[in-house]
Amino acid sequence: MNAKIMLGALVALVMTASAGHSQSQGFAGLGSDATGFAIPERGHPLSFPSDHGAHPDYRIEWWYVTANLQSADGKRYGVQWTLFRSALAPGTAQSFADPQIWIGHAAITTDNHQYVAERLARGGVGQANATTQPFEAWIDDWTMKSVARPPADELNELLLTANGQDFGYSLNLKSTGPLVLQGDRGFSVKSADGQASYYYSQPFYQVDGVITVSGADVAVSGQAWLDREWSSQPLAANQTGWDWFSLHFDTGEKLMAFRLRDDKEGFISANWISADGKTTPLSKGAVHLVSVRQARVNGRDMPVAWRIQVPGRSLEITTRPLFDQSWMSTSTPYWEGPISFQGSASGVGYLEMTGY
Amino acid sequence: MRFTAFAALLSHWRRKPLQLLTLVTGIALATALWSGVQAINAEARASYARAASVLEQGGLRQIVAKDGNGISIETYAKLRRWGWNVSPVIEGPYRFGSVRIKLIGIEPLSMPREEQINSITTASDLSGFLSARGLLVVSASTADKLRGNTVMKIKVSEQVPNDAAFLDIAAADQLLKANGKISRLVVAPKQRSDLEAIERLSPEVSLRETPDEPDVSRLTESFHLNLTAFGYLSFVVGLFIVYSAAGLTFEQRRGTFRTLRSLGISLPALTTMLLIELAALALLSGLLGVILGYFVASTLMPGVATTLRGLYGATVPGTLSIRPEWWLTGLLIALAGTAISSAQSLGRVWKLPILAAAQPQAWERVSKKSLIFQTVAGCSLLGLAMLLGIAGSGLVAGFGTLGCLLLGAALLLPGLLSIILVMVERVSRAALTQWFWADTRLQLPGLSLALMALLLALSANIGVGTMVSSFRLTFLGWLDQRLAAELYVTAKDENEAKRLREWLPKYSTSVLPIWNVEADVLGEQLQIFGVVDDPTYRDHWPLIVANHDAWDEVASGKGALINEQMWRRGDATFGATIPMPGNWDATVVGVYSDYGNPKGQVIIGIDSLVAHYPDVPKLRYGLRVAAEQVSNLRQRLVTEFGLTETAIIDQASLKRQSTAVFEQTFTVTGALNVLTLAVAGFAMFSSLLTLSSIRLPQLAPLWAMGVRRRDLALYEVVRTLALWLATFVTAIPVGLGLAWVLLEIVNVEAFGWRLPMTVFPLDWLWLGAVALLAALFSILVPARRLATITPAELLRIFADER
Amino acid sequence: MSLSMSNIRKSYTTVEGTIEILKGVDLFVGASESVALTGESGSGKSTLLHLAGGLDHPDSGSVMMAGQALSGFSERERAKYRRKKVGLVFQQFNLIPSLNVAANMCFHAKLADRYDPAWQQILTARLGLEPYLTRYPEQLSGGQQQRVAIGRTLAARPPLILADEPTGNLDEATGDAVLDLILSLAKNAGSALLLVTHSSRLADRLDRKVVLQGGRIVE
Repeated sequence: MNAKIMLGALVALVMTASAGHSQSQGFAGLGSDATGFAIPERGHPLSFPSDHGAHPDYRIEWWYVTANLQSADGKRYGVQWTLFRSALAPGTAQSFADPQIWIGHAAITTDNHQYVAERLARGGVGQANATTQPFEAWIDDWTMKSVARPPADELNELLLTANGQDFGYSLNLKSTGPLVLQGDRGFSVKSADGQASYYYSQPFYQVDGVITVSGADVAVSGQAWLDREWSSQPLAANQTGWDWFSLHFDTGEKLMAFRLRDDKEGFISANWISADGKTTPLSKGAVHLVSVRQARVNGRDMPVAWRIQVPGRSLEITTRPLFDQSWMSTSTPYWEGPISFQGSASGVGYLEMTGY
Repeated sequence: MRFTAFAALLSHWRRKPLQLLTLVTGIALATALWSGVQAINAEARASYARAASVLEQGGLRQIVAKDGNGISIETYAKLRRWGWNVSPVIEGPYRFGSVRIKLIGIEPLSMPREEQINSITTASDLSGFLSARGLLVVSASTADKLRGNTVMKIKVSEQVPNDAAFLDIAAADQLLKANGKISRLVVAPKQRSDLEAIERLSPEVSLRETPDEPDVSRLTESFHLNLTAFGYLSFVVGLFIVYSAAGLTFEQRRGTFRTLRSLGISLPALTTMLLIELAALALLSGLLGVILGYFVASTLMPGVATTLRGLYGATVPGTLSIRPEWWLTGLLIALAGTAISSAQSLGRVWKLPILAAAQPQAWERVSKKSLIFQTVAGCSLLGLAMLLGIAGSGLVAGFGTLGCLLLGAALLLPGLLSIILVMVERVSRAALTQWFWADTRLQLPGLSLALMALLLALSANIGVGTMVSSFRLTFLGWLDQRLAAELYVTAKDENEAKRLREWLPKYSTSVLPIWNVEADVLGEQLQIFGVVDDPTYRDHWPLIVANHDAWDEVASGKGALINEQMWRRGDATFGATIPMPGNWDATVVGVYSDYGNPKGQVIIGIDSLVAHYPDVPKLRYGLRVAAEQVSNLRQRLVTEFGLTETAIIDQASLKRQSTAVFEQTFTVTGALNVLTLAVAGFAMFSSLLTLSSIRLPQLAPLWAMGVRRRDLALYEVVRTLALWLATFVTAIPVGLGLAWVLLEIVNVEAFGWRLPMTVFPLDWLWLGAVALLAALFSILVPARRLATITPAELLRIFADER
Repeated sequence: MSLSMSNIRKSYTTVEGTIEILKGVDLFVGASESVALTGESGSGKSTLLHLAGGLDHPDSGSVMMAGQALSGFSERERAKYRRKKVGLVFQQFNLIPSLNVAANMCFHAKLADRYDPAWQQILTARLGLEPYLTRYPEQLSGGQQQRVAIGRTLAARPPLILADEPTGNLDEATGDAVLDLILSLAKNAGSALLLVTHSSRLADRLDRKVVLQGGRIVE
């Protein structure tokens, strides 16, 4: 998923660069050079639980949860919890000299408001990190913590908390399906030139918990999707942003699809995930993404509604955002919010758009 | 009609340009000194606020370690994980080559957004700031000093005060060898509402509330009060000039007023015209004054900056920025001053009967009644001064005492002089002598304001001079005692320090560690020093009160010495037990003088310092060595041991530096003193000039009766000198009183130390000579004019139809 | 002692140019003689009086007092001449404001080294000034001030008394009384008197009268 946001991370760090040369270095510097960092390799098997934790030799990494929730009265909500890691240099060091920078983004979307918070921290001092056995990824008082009992995978059950000005949440995530390796057994190609990342997901979470918006506690339940991705140079230099979808079908199937935009025709990639967790990468040209409605968001026009077609599976759906203005006003701003879709199939999901 | 009338009023100035000059100069001088001092103060205060907000994030609460050992990274992480929005700072002094800089290592990622330093870091090159090579953000002048002294990248930001550098906390940690010990945590204004109390989470730290004003601005308050007092003094002296000049112009225009009124100009119209005229004059002169004040302040500012740095460590730019509010207040004060000093004259115009005879008299014979009233008021003020001095407390009471003393003495002066003159006149036999004294007494009302101004200026000079000289004497003696070691060395790091400790005993009689930690004692962040048990201290250290076995107690680790400042403030009493950081107690066994230090200080045994504060930097040492060995050892330290030249400082140059700082401290005071005296001199000059123009009718009969013009001129000179002398003699006791109040009340309140008063009559003679010179100068023009006046002019006095 | 002025010329420079006020005046006042000098306003009476008193220099001509020419005097001798030989009474402004009546009365006598307490007491009584001895000039009426001025001059017993409209500020009765005083006391002291007045009624009471007109003595 989320090639996304790494941006956030990079963002803060390479602000000067992005201000001056965003075209040449891609969105938020994600296209910059990876000297000294490890590079993902096809065929390298992922191993758990150790790959749930941080990979400091890679430049960027994230733990990314999006949840489509509903309260007892039928009101719909979206929740986002993200921890980015962005390294100034490969490896770790003691105390403040650690080159790892951590960035947290948290959000709740209602049908009329986007609550957003951001945290920054450096590694080495314990303020933020992602460790395994037991698994915990945290920044300050935000945490994503395993409450799974061995021998179950550490990501099977999670406690997720975050807070910001006027909002907060505490959610329990319980998986009903296996981890899903994206791309080629977790090796996910991001451009025609071969830029790639390691990428796996847990799209089968059932969620219950409490969210707090503007001082009121609301009991909620629903489903969530976790993306894990790490890399050193996931974008090609000419790629400027992306549109990314994670969809939960009412049938229990899932679809992950994204389009990386560049100065040419772009790069589309998608995975079909069956209800029991089998993944099928969709070939190039098997997925069509067409914007059907623009909205004015924070001074720019953004395609907030889409038609998604997968002719091979007779799928033709139209997505609709819960809230047009799902704008993440963080150091690197982007659009991220819950959507629902109708058409040949129906369900809910999340849309992320960067680089507009 | 109105215009014609106005023109008639204004025509006066064309005939009396000198009078106009006097009035304008008076207002301008009063405004200049007042606004000059205000400008200096405003600049310094703004700079404190800027420095505090930039350097110390002064607007925010801070968390500090209760002991002197800094805050651990674990504590920091724990607070963050509990939701506390805090940001770490590692700071301390550092030397790049020979350049001393305050390093402030910040963590830009967690630094609250509200802080200005964010604009210094984030908005610039954050990745550069965080890079391994390190980036120093400094002011332009600091950057100049640093070039060539460091391999770190340097970035200039005008928001950073001089002699300070911002850098990433990791770089600061490494340079300062802090080992991750955090100096303090800045607490962001926005916090979660359900935070756990800090004491519960980390009892080893404490939360410090935001001070109302920066530390340094409280420390320097006394210094600024001092300047302000001088500003007011000069202002009052300047107003005397305005008062007498305004009085004269109104008196001389009485005839015009009467004529205008009889021609149908109503009283309100006339008064309005005069008000407009005065306001215009005040604004014009005020403008001149503010410009003049700007130059005065610009000239004094570098001295002020040096003083503030030397005495308080406060960084203030040596230049002045022009502030609109300062121009405005300057003009307002000029208007107000003019209004106050001409109110009486205006009041008289208001009451002037339309047909009153025009009697151009510069003064009225001061009635006995008003003289008595003045004298009684003067006595009451002196009494009040005494009362305040004895019963009052606090800096404001101290300055109140000063004010009452000066004003009381000034009010008493004319009465005192009259009494003396009456007595001298009684015993005079010769006609001319008798006339001389009688005539002097007649001049007194016209001169008394100028004389009062002179008395104020002279007393202030004597008082402040005595204070400074007493201070200098005590301070130099104290330096001699305190700087007993022949050489002082500073190691660059703990390794070198360790080698020094092994190497030095071979070559010096004693090695005195100068180690200290900064910690919270009795609610004040202060320095705790450790001393070894050495005869150097027993013989030389200046103790004010002490147990006979004070040094034994200190050596044993149970006793502590505190400085005079702490003692006088009543923070700790002699013999009391004080809680020390790190959970132990020490007994106060002695008090020592510690001039030039605005804060408290504690001395304990070196062993207990190391035991309680194991992280204390052990870099500095004082070395006792025979005088003839000093240069030898110095050489060895450089060539054999390998210490850099700049790490060694000998006693003589240390004393020189300290003395230089001391001298600089009072340069500004001295300059203001001289300026006040100059204003008083001008007041005298203008009064004499004014009088001389109306004295001819008084002197012409004497000339007609056979007294030569040059003799008359000589008498004028002698009279002026006599008055100056009398004023000067009066100024001595007043000045000494002033010095006493400064030393016994103001200094104790402002600095926390008391000094013995020493009298320096030679200084008075010097001042007397300067004053005499000024006196001669002030009478020169009038006397010359009298000596060379033509008989025709004198004869006209007798011929004039009046 | 006699005053002798011959061929006195004096001109003043004013805004309108140089005006010759005295165009060759000859005047003699014998010892103990009283002479009235009259003439119109601006005829030069006061100027002539000032020249006689050594207060100013003539442009040409000579002023002799007791056979000595004033023109040869230094500034110091001139001052001494005024102190010792001359007594001046002006219309006004001739008291010293800082001294009281008693001190004013004896001031000139002391300067001239001729202070005689007994004589002063007589004078004070004759002038009716006893009640005012401790007052200051500004506390006196015009007539009282003029009596003090006359008393001060007579107390010094100068050989030559020069009076410029001494009664000009006084009403007729007071003026007559003051003039009587001057005349009788001058006679007593043996002083010569040159009195400037524009009143021929007063002039008639003196030994002799000369009239100044157009810068010359005409009568």
